[in-house]
Amino acid sequence: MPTSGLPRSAILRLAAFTCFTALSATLIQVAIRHGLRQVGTGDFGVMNRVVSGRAAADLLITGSSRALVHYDTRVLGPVTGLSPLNLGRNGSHTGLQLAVLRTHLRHNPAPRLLIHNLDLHSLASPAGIYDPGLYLPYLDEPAIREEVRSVHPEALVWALLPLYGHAVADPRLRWIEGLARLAGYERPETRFAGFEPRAWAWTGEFDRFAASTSTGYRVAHDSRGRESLLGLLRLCRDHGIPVVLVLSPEYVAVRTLQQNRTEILSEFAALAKEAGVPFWDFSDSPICGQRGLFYNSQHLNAEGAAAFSAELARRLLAAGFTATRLATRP
Amino acid sequence: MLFNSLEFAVFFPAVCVAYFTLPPARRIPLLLLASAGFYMAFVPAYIVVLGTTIAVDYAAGLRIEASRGPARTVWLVASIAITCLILFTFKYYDFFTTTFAGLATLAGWRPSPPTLDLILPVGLSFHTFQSLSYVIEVHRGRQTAERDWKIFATYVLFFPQLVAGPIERPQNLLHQFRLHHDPDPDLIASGLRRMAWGFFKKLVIADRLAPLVNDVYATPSAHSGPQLAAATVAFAYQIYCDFSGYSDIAVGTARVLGFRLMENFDSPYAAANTGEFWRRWHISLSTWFRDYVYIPLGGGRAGPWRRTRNLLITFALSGLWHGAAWTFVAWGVLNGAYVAAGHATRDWRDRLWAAAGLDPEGALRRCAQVATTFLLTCIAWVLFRATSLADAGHILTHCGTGWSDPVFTTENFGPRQLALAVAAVAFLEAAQWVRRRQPLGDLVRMLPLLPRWSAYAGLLVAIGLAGVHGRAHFIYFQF
Repeated sequence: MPTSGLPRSAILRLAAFTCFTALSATLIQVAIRHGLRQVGTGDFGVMNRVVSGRAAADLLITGSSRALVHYDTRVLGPVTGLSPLNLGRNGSHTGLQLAVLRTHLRHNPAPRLLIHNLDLHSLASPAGIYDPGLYLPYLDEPAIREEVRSVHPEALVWALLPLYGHAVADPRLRWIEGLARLAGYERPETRFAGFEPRAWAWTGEFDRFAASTSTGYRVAHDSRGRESLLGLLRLCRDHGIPVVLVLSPEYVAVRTLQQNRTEILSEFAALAKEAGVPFWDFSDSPICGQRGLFYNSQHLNAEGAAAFSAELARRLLAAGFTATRLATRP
Repeated sequence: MLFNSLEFAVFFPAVCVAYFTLPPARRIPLLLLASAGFYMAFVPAYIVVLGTTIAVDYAAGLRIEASRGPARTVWLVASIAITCLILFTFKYYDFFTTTFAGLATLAGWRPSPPTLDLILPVGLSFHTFQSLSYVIEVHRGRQTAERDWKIFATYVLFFPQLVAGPIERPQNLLHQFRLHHDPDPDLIASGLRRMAWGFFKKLVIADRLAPLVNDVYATPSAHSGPQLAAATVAFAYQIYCDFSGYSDIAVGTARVLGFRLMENFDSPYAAANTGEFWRRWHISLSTWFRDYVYIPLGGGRAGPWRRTRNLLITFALSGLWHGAAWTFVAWGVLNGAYVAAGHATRDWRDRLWAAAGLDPEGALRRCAQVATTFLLTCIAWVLFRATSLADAGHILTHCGTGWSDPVFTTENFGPRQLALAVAAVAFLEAAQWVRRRQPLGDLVRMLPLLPRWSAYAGLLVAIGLAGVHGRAHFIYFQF
């Protein structure tokens, strides 16, 4: 037997307040998404250009952070005569790089040439999405939504309730950029056609890591990673886009720690052969031995990126990847 | 079960509905079952430990009340001994044996006493102290022994304050389990507001600051002076918001059900001296040590030297209560030394302030005192948070270096996190400043409906959006 209960008016008030809060949350959700889709700089700036069809380029560069900071579009563009766009994404795995490329091709004309940068982890399955907040405003894009969902099944809920997505999957508080944009503030642009130069000194991060491991480590690789890379190569073939797979320089000392480096490089070569695309390994580049050109073992600093981009541009010209020649392709 | 978990979001409304729906006779069994379930969500087996404490102190309370003469004290001592033995076994045995082995090694003897490696039952120190206060109060004749075991068990197990306090006194809480609570919309609204404020402190401030503190305190030598200083100030707010946030949620949860728990915090960083700080920080523990350790030792009655000795003993024990490590003992002793020095230098300081021309009641003097107290508290927090005395030494000696080009962020704590945390702390301080003049709840209630609801909704959305929802444990759970 119930002994007591809340007055009806209190229950109605609680219900009305719940509706009011839900409405407020919805308005904030709309504001954040709208703001993020308006951002014109940084990661969001590049993605917003892609999804709004303003990212047409002759030379497209894809890959992870190594692509983002290694391919200096200010060097590659003038030397090759191709208008470049760097789509490198921090911490992204190959599947996500493929999703971004699919999205680009959905909204923009196909490039004349695609350079896909590899790193030793390119054939590994993702452990998670790095910085998922960057992708929350684009979950209406089928390729991105499917890839994020394949790693985080709850991404479907994030797509329906972006505010929930930001609450649980945006530890870097990307939503602040959306609200700041609505308030008229935007971070100054530090990128050049997507390329992000990092004028950083050697951080010592690698030295600490090397000191902590005496035996080195094995780089993970599996069928899902391989399938993603093959998927990217197939997509380019289907769109008639010539591809060059590039392993950009790594600091030479890291190689002694990568126990299965040769095995991974052989897989890259085999995949390139299977897809009929060139694989350019820059492990022999003199850049690899110059610590002053890196800020850690995997990433060139701005000076290193300029040097590498010049070396790559020369090789592109030598291989016949010029604006004139690519323009005459069917 | 964590307050900041989905399980609790289901558990608490279900308990509330059941509690107000059931007839009064069924409500205590419900609260007892719910509290046991809440506790068993952590490590089910440890309910046996808690059950033993409850059984011992329930029986001891009855025996103490029924006995006369020395037998009363025998029952009290037996009860305290058994309760403390449980605490010692789980919390202090390994600490004391390793300390003993270390000291013996210095004397050239190499004993290897066995270690237990037991996982500390969540909140053991809290419910042990709450249970102890019951038998002591019965022994002192200020509390009648509880005859209904279900009520006594619910008093110790009451889920809102089971794992991290407030450490209640029987005079305040025990009789409330005999009262009939009807659902009171105003009390429910007030409780929910208090819970929301607690979640804001925990999720938006404490857990937001945690990565900065964790990064820096994990490898102090790899971080600069500004980072060490920022992490120390951040820890001051992290631990305050984590613990007072828990207390707010506990007080609010109990209030929704119609119970009134004691207040545990009162804007401690607004204290003008360390003595005042300890009257505002973890009030239920401070008063516990005051009533059951400091005053029985003689308190401040037998001259300055005895007072200093009593303060140092009390604070050292308080440090040890927090954790079985020398850093906690050092933290306690340092705080005892602060309070003792505060007493000893009061006249001298008054003369100094007067010589500086600062009005004893003036805002400037108060600000300087508050800033000094905060600085001293932060120095003590370094000992509390550092993983070793060597790390603490490094932090304290390097905080002032490398300020030419200060960086306050770390690998896991970027500029956006920093900006948000600073804004949240500023909001907290502003709210507390207003509250010291007028209760915040009263102020908000005076607003018209739309701004009032907007404020509540804004707080909820801020908790959702700016909070960290990683189900982080409360720091004080480990004690």
